Parts: sequence; structure tokens; C-alpha cells
Amino acid sequence: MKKFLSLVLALIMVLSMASFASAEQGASVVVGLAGDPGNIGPFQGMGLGRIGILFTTYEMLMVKDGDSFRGCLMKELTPVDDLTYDVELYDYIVDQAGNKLTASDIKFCFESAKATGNLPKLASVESVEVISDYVARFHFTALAAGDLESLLMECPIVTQAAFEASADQMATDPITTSPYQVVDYKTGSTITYKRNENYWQKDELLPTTSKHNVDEITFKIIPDPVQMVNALKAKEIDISAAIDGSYISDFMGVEGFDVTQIPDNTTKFLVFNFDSIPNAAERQAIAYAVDVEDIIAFAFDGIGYHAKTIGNTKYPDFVPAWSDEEYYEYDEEKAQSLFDEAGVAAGKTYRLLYNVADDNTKIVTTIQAALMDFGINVELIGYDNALFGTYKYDDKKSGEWDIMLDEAGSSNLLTNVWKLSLDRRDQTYGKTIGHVLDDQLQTLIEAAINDNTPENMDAFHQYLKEQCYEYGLVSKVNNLAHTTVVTKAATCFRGQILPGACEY
Amino acid sequence: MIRYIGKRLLWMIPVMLGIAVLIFSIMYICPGDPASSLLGPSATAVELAAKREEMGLNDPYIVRLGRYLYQTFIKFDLGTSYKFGTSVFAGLMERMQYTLVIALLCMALQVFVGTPLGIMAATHHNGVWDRVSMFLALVGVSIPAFWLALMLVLIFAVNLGWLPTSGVSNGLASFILPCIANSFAGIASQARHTRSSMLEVIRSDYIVTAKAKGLSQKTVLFKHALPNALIPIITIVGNGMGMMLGGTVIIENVFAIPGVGRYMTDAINSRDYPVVMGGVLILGLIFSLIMLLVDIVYAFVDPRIKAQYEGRKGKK
Amino acid sequence: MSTAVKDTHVGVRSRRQGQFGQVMHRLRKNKVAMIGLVVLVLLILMAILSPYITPYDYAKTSKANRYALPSWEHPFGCDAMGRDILSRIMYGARASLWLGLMSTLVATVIGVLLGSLVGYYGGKVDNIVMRILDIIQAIPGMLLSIAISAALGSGIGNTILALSIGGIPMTVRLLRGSILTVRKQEYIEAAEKINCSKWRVITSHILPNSIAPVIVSVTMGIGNTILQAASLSYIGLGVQPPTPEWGAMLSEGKSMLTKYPHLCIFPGLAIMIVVLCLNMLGDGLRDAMDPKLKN
Repeated sequence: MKKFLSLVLALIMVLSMASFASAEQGASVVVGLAGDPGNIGPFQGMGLGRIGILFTTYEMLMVKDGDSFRGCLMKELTPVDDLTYDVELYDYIVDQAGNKLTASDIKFCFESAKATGNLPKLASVESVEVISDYVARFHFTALAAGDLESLLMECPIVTQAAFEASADQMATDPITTSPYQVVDYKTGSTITYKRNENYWQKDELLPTTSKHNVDEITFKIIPDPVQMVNALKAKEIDISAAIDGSYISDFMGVEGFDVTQIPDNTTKFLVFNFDSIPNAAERQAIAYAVDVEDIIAFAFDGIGYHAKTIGNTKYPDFVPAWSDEEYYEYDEEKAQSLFDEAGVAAGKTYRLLYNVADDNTKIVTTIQAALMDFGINVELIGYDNALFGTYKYDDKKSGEWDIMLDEAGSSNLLTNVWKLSLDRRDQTYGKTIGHVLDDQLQTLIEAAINDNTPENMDAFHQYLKEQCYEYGLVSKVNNLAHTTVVTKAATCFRGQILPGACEY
Repeated sequence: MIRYIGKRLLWMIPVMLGIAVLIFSIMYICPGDPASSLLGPSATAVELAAKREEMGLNDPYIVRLGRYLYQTFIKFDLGTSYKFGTSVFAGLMERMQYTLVIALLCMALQVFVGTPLGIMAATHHNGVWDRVSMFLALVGVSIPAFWLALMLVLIFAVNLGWLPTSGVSNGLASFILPCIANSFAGIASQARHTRSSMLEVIRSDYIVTAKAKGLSQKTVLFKHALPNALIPIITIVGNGMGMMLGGTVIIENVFAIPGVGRYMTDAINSRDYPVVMGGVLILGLIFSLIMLLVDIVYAFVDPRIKAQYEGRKGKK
Repeated sequence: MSTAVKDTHVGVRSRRQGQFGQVMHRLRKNKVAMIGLVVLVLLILMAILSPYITPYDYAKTSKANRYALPSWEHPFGCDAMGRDILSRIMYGARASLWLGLMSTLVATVIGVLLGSLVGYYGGKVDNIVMRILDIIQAIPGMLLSIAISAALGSGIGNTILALSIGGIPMTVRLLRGSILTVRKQEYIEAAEKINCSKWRVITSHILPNSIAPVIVSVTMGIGNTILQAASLSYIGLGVQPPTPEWGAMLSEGKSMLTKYPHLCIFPGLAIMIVVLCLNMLGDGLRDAMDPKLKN
């Protein structure tokens, strides 16, 4: 008996030594996450915490790899007609529990996701039909430019068998086809993933999002920005995309650390309320009066760039020529003459609605100071995220602001950034959020959304710029800092870290 | 006394109902949209409106209140968190384990450090010890908790590397800095209250008499003075415990501790109605029970108070 | 008959004034308390005069002075927008002191009134008021404030209401606890026997013997109240930038604490000084009111 025990002990020791040895090769990574993902089940809305863990947890039919889309679970996409497409799956996909993924699972996922109402874009998927084991036929109600790819990327895919085996609809223990499996989720604190040794895809066919260069991944939720910096300094985390700009110098060029700057997909912009500022000259005057370079210096520590439209330059349908165009660059004289033309005299007061979060207070204070140079007052109306999110779409509140600082981004196209605030079909009261009711604007945006050719894009952009209903301020840049354990950082299109695709 | 306790326990029912109706009404009038935090920033206004309709948030007040009360008090179901997708009760209890550790440790520090400090200050009234400890106590209450917390982290975690900067994955070591940072204000307030009420008692006639009778300083202090000075101290400890079980948002945020405070604050900020309403109800129940306990302890410490409780019963 | 009643009233009034005078007299002799009072008055003066005496415009931003360290030109340095911190603290005293002192006062007055009521009458009054407080205390302060802002609108009065409402239950509980211990003591019963009015029993016999914990708790709480005011500006209450306010200055500097600590230290010190002065004054007041120390 004793001998047996000592044998077991010796075995355990050898095994643990072995696992320790592999751990020494930098086989685990800790990622600092600012937002709390909450429910990590497949059919949740894209809340802010969720985007950080999305591609580590799930695979989709298609993914965005760098700037282009490619199949992930999907092998082949065949159009049947304008609104019908056949999706062929790889025929060897298995999830972490060993269930085979077939076309009926695709139908199940899209139908379940649609039923929750959490992924509203899926409303344009009319139905999914199972053609054979590995072919699913998608029927769409309508497809605007770029919609097909983003719809096939919208819904995380799991097997029906695994989903139904979960007691809490995978809120804490998803079983997916991803190379990483959740092994421990302490809500509000950490999520730990282990590499799935039986991952289905061949290495040569992997999209970036499915790469698996590390054995173990831990996401650590650290809401406080200073503590994020401290955790990285103490090397408790290896990498974070949420390092405050003013702390970058603590890591840039410092032994043991490295910094990468990646453009964020969101852009800050001003919305003018047409009800109170109906005169285009007045809106243009305000745009000229604000020095965006000042905003970048004060609010972003010099890291960021002046937007050229409502959205950044990263979108595929951004027209490169815009980069060289004049876009309300700061011009005191022009601003003054436009104010004079519009009959705006010193002593005028604008009410500026903004979301008291991040750098917004600094942005609005800079705007306030800039307009003060023209003798114009700006009364700030700041609300927390929840209140702002409600008031900005609230028709009844629109009488309380003249200018609004807003922020928007999209996962694929510039038109999707525009439509959030400028397509009146997407508002509950039939006007843009700036209360514009302009048929020409509407015609142009509909044309651009339906077919985002450079001509259509440019027509809308030029008209919007001329009318200055909205004015793009700053496209943000995220600071991604990491220890030298990570030799090359990889991110998804939203600027979130893909720990499996980083190099170690 | 037993009848008094029984009566108070029965009173919990209307109190719970009152809390439920009040919190529901407050959430009803509070602007803010749970759909927007669920669907994220890329959802359009029309999509948000559809989601709200689906969640039943557009139903009339009385319908929603009735549904909520029925679910809570008849079916004893606090519902499921919008954000976490798990039961509110289970979520709260999971968070409570961390909050409980912090609350108990902090209370222990507050009572066992604060009280002796206060007694020392009172017995050396206007002496150097009194001045120094009271000044420290004032510094303690006026230093913002996040400031102290971040300074402690900078010294003990970043520079010395003795303790983790944040998180809960290092066992007891994870709780050392949060507890020190969190208990500072409590210790300070405990010390000042103890000093104040000890001073009151020390000056009263019977203590002067006891001293005159030649009883030892220690006997006078612990047998006669302290028990009579206890009432405000008990109030402070009870209130403090009740508050701390509701979570300490600042500390939990700084140290990334998934406690009740962060759970509730996040829920308030994202308008996660089931969590807010369920959490407030449970925390309210815990708080009321602690307040009852405080009243019972009053009676044990001071027989005159016990007589008042029982006297009322007699009158009826 | 009517004249007799009038007489007793006059008597009560003059004796009360006498008592008040005595308290003031004893307070004036307390040096520590007087230092606290003088500094507090100076701070209030600074707040009132701040539009005329700040060295710089509190809202003037400057790219060159971002995060400037303390120097001769800017004794407290400059903040993230390059604004002079000294000027902001001086001007910020207006909002912070006004909100802090007023809401503390409101909370104390309401709390003491309710506390004396439940402590003195006990029984049903006690039970009902305390259960209502249990209900109110269960609601998170932030939600109460949002509800106040949504239902009553913004404005300084509602801000003070939102700030003070959280302080009331603690005051009531402390006072109730202390009154319970003195309520049945001989001198209170004696005072009741000789037909003192209830008001007089409460104000001249019960309160002086039970107010001490309230003074301690209120004077210590003001720092928190000033800090809390900052979070109210996000929900439509409080003050909006660029108007400075100490709590908001602290929370703005928070993310820079380890890099540019002067952003936090000076507003923090300002709050600490107010807390310190108020406590010195409060201690003196308590000693002066203590009937056992009469001499």
C-alpha cells in the first residue's frame, strides 16, 4: 500500500514538473479588461465588456481578418439569388464537448439569437433552411451593401446539443467550437480559458481570430484605470488595451514593456440641433471655431487624429480623397465672419449635451474655451452613460440642447456609422437625431447604404459636410501596452486584444 | 423582550413591502434605458424601442408593479439579471462572499483598533496622546478612500511587490490592502465616537463617586464607564456593518473585487432592474435585521432601555 | 390667566437665552474651537470674495501649462487643462462649502427633530418613524438622487436635498440611541413632574445630554458630503464644469494620482482643512453644551 502511494506521489510530481516546464515557455497570458462582459452566453447583445472576449470565446460563420472578411466555420459561400445564399460548412467541425457541428446547428443558432432580440441586426435574416448536413440556405429580407458579411459574423455559433446541455444557457460555461474553452468564470473578476487540444481546424486554414499560440488565457477585469497601469507595472497582467494615454510614457521605451498604438473604431462628433441652429453658416462657424488639435492635446494627450467625416479612415468604404480635403480646419477669421453672417453676436449661449465619461469632459471644456474666444458661452449639460443614452434619442429632451457630443463606430462599414444618427428611418420620430428633416440628405444616405460606391459615398459626405448637420471631431487611438512576454500583439477590428493570435 | 422581538419581526413584512414598492417606483421614474446597455452602442433608436417593448418596459406602471410584487412575494423569485443572465439571488450571494470577508475584517479592525484608541484618548483627555490620536482620526476620515487605496497599492504592490495590486485570486493576501484602505475611516470614526461618549460618562457623578471610593482605574473604566458609553458605539457599529454589507463601491472598484457594491452600482448604471430591485430588497432585509439586533443589544447593555421596550408591552 | 401663561413663556425664553449665552461664553474660552471657527470663517470669506481675489481665471485653459507642477507663478500647479489649481480651489470653495455646509445643516436639523421625537415619545411614533427610515435607508443614495433629479428637476435646493437625505437616518439613530439611555433617568422624570413643557424637557434636558454623538458624526461626515457632490453633476444635479468644485477636482485628478499627485493633493487638503476645523469647533461645542461641565 505504501509503495503504491509513493508511486502515485512520484507520478504526480513528475506530471506536475512536466506541466510546470511547459508553463515556463510563456504558455499562459493574462489580459487586463476594463469592461465586465457579464453574461458570456452566445446570444447576448454587444455590450461594451463583451467585445473584449468575443473572439476568444466563439467562432462565427465568417470573421473579419485584418481588413477583409473570410470564412471561419464557413468553407464556401454560394449565391442562389439576390437575397438567398448557401453557406457550406467545413465537414469536420467539432465543439469542445465533441459534438459535430452541422447545418441544423446553424439554423438553431440564428433562430435562437433572433428570438432573444439581443442582436437586432439579425432581423433581416428571414429564415435558415437546412439543405444538407453541411449546407445551410439563408433567406434574407433585404441586404444593403456589406450586410451579408456582417450578418454572417453577427451570430456566435454553438452546437444545439451543447447549448441544451447547459444549465444557464451558457451564461457562465459556454461550450463552443473555439480553440479556447472556458474553464473558470468568476463573474466580475476573472475568466480563464484553456486551449482545446482537439481543436478542429487545420493550422494552415486558420483565420487570425482562431489562432491559438498560447495554452492558457486569463481575462482579468480591472475597472479602475490607474490600477490597470499598476497591474501591468507589477506584471500581474501581460497585456491591456485600456492604458490611459498619459501613462504611456511609463511603458514606452521602458525595459520589459512595449506599446502598440491601434486606431479605435469609434469617432467623436458634434450633432447640431436643427430646431435651434437652422442656419448652416452658424453650424459651420462653430465647426471652424473649434480647434481639434487642442482637443487632441487636452483630451487625448496628443494621440488621436482629426476626423475627416463622421467616422474614421479605417472603413473600406471611406473614400481616400477625403483625407486631403479641407474639413473645417480651425480658422478664427472664417468662424467670425460666418458667425457675423448668421447674426450670432457675443453673449449668445449654446447648451451642449454630453456623456460624462472618458475624455468627454475635457473635450467639451475645450470647446467651451474655444467659443469663449468669440464671446459665446457654452452651458454644459453632462449626464452619465445611462441617462445620456436615453436622452440623446428622446424627442422630448431635444428642446434642452443645441449641440451634442456623440460617439459612434461600426464593425464593418462607414455607412453603418452614419445611419446611427443620420438615417431618419432609424429614429423613432422620423428625423435625424439632430432633428433634421431634409429629403435630399435622406435620399443620399439611402443611396449610400444600398450601394456604397465611392460616388454615392462622396455625394452624401459632401452634402453633409456642406450642410454641417454633424461635424466629426476626433478618431481615437487605443494604447495597447504589454510586457515583453508578448512579442507581437494582435487585435481584432474593434481594437480588442486577440490573446490567442498574439505572438509569445 | 421576546414579544418585542416577535413584534419587530412581524413589522419586517410591511417594511419589505414598502421597500419593494418604493424601489419599484423609483426605478420607474428614473430615466435610463436597460435596452441600450444590453444591445450595445451600435443599436439604433428603433431597435432599442423594439427591445424595450419586448422586455415589457412599455407596460403601464400598475401592471408592471403588480407583476413585480406577484413574482417577488408570491413566487419568491427575484428574477434574472439582464446583464449576467443568472438568478439575482445567486448572483448576489456569490458577490456577498467577498463583501462579507471585507465587512467582517474591517469591522474587526474598526472595533479592536478604534475603540482602544478612543478610550486612551478619553482617559488622557487633552493630553498629548489625546491630541495625536484625534488628529490622526481626523486625517483618517478626511482622506478619500481611493487616494489611500492607490497609495497603498503603489507602495506595497508596485514598488515592494509584497501584495497583489488587485483581484481576488490570491486568497487572504488579496484582501489585506482593501481592508486597510477601507477600515481607515471606520477606525477613525469609531475612535472619535468612543472618546466622545467615554468623556461624557467619565464626567458623570457615579464615575466620580466610584473613583472617590478608591476603586482602581481599570475597574472604574471597564466595569462602570465603558458599559454606559456603549450605546453610540453600538449604533455606529451596527450602522457601519449594515452599510458595509451593502458593499463598498470605491474600494471594490479600485481593487477589482467583485463584491455586492460593484454588482449593485453596475446594475444601477446599466438599469439592470431585476438586480437593482432584488438587491435592494435583500440588502434592506439584512439591514433591518441588523437594526433589530442593535435594538436588542441596547436592551442587554442598558436595563433601562429594556424596561422601556417591555413597558410599552405592558401598556397595551 | 393669560398673563400668567405669557409670563412663563417669557421666563422660558430668557432662561434659554441665558443658557445659550453660557454655551457661547464657554465656547469662546476654548482656544482650539476658536481656531477652528476662525479658519472656517476665513474660508467662507475666501469663497465669497473669490471672484475678486483669485490670481487667475479659474476656467482659462493653457496647453503649455498642462499638469504644470507647483511653482511661484502657480503655487498649487495646474491641472490637465492647464488651469491654475489655486484659483480653482479658491473659487471651488463657493460650491463645495455651500453644498457641504448647507446639506449637513439640513440633515442635522431634520435628523435632530425626528430623533428627539422618536426618542422622547417612543412607542408607536418610534416604531413607525424608524421603520420608514429602514425603508429609505435601503434605497441606494445614487438612485434617490437620480429620482430627485428626474422628479423635481435640477437646482441648488434639490442638490442639497439629495445630499442631505442620506445623512438623516444616521443622525436619527444616534440620537434615538442616546435619548433611550437618558429618557428614564431621574432628572428627566423630575423635570416632567414639575410640569415643564415637553419642548423644554427636550431642548434643555434631553438634548444637551444626548447630542454629543450627533455632533461627532455630523462634523466628520462633511468631507464625504463634499466628495459626494461631485457624482451628482452626472445626473443633472450639482454644478457643471467649468465651475470648479473640490469633489469634482479630486475625481478629475484621480486617474493621474500616481503621475501628477498635485492634482489630487490640494483639493484633498482643502477638504481635510474643512473637516478638521469643523471637528475642532464641534468638540468645543460639545464640551460647552455638556451640563456636567458647568462651572
